[in-house]
Amino acid sequence: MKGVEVYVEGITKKYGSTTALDGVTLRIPPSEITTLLGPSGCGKTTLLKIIAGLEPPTKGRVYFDGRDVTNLAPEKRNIGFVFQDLALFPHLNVFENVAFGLRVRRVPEAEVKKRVYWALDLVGLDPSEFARRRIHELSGGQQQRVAIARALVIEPAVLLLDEPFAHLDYKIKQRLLLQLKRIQRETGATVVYVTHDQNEAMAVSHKIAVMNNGKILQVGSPEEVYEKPNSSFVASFFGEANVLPGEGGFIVIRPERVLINPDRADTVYDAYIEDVVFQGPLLHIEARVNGKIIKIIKPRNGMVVKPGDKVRIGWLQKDVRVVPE
Amino acid sequence: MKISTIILPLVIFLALFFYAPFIILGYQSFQGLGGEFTLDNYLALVRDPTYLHVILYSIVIAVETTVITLLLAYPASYYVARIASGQEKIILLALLLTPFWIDVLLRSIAIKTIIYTIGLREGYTAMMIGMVYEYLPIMFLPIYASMSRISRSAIDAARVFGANTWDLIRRVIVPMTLPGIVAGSLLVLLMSMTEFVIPSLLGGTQGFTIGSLIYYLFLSGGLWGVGAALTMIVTVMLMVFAFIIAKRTGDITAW
Ligand SMILES: Nc1ncnc2c1ncn2[C@@H]1O[C@H](COP(=O)(O)OP(=O)(O)O)[C@@H](O)[C@H]1O
Ligand SMILES: [Mg+2]
Repeated sequence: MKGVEVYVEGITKKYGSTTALDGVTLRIPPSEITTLLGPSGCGKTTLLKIIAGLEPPTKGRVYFDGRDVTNLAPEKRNIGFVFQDLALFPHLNVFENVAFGLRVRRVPEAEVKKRVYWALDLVGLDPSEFARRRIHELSGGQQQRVAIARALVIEPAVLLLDEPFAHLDYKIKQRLLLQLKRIQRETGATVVYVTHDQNEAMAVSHKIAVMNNGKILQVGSPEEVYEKPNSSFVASFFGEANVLPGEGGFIVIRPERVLINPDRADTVYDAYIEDVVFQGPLLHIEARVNGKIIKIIKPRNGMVVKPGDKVRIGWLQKDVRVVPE
Repeated sequence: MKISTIILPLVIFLALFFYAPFIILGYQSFQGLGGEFTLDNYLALVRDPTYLHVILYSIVIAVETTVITLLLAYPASYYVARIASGQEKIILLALLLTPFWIDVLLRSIAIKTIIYTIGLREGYTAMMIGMVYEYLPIMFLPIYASMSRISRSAIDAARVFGANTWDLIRRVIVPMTLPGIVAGSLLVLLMSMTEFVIPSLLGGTQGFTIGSLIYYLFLSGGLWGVGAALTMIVTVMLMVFAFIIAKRTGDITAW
């Protein structure tokens, strides 16, 4: 199956005096995972609801494969949606929750059963164990999988996931993220994945759109956005960053690109080590330069610095990114 | 069975003012005129078809009241709970519930005036208008409560997954408000079955229901034994109902 290309053009959404979205234009390529990344309240959920047709935009258009769907009812868009609060039906068991989209499409019973079992298998819930369970008899992680199965079973052209793995343990989250990527490859759906967590965004995306205050600030592959952030907000929100005042605005230097006692560097400062924190194989170091803290990340092997050490730190010009704001 | 102390005051109150009189009444229902034990009072109820008639007639009125109030309250509660917002919601709720705070006697007299102005007289229609007016808030409140509890995103989810308006009503809204529908319907059914004030004031010749019958037996007819027997039958019937409801609502709300 091939997913559709979603194109939102000049979308503005106002709730009274609140502007939830402010002129958002975004091309979401077919059969890829595109992530909307941004802090809470920046308009991610609102954008998903507009794509789904659950909220009308105040201004702007929505296109699926070039067709204007702005005024098309949500039930006619063939969309899978995993809601932020899951929105499972409490009066239906797991099987009927997943089957919902097929029932309203009047799919024959035998086919319903086949596809519900397929979807439950896909998300790693054994149908013989879970099909008859009540929603409130499931753990949070199991409920999230039911919500994903319910969205997948209709083989949607577009799959919208609104922070689907928030509030889950790290390990379960990692596993579900891998499953999501596999499911996306197998089904070929266009996936829009919403999160405020940069690690999730890095793990899952073909393409990332960083949002703030109802605007999209930057769009690109995870590598592009990481290596070439276009603003200090993007640099700090996606990955760790040192943002320092510099010529023409600010300079951004990633913590892993800061050198300690370098043989050769384009910029060098005297610094002393404030703090060293072990994070698995990495050391997170804070160095003080002229009263300002510089974050440094280094592999642990061979690195011997401790708080109080006087060192020189520096970086290469090629690792510095200049941003206007 | 251990009765938790927090409900003890209520239990004592009910024991004194409901269950004790009920037991006394039960005792009286087996007493003859000379104070001897007898089943005559019950047999009198069975022998004279008028009694059965009145009971069935009251059930018909109660069922009709339930169906009409349900049909009126259900869409209204949907509108007030899910569509109206802000000021409109408050005004609608106030308008719907104000009659509830006013005594039934005053309301019945008010209705009487209106009914006369529109050219009606006491009778079946007038009585049903009064009954619907009386029981509408009781039907409305539990349905409104369950309607308000449906999350916006459950409805969004149904829409996105392909439900048209009919699917939405049938597969999501009605099942999710079922506890409210059941609670409202049973409350109205049971309460309206023994309603006394409205049928007597507005029913005219059509207003002779269980309530009026019991009133007549005790206070005008002087047939205390038969009155007690009838009260016993009706009360036991309602209690059985109440137990079934308590069990059923327990099942339904156990999501
Ligand atoms: N139904 C609504 N009514 C009023 N304001 C809303 C509504 N939905 C969202 N907003 C506001 O719009 C902004 C964006 O919200 P949202 O899209 O939910 O952000 P995010 O999903 O990124 O956390 C917030 O300021 C929020 O308060
Ligand atoms: Mg959100």
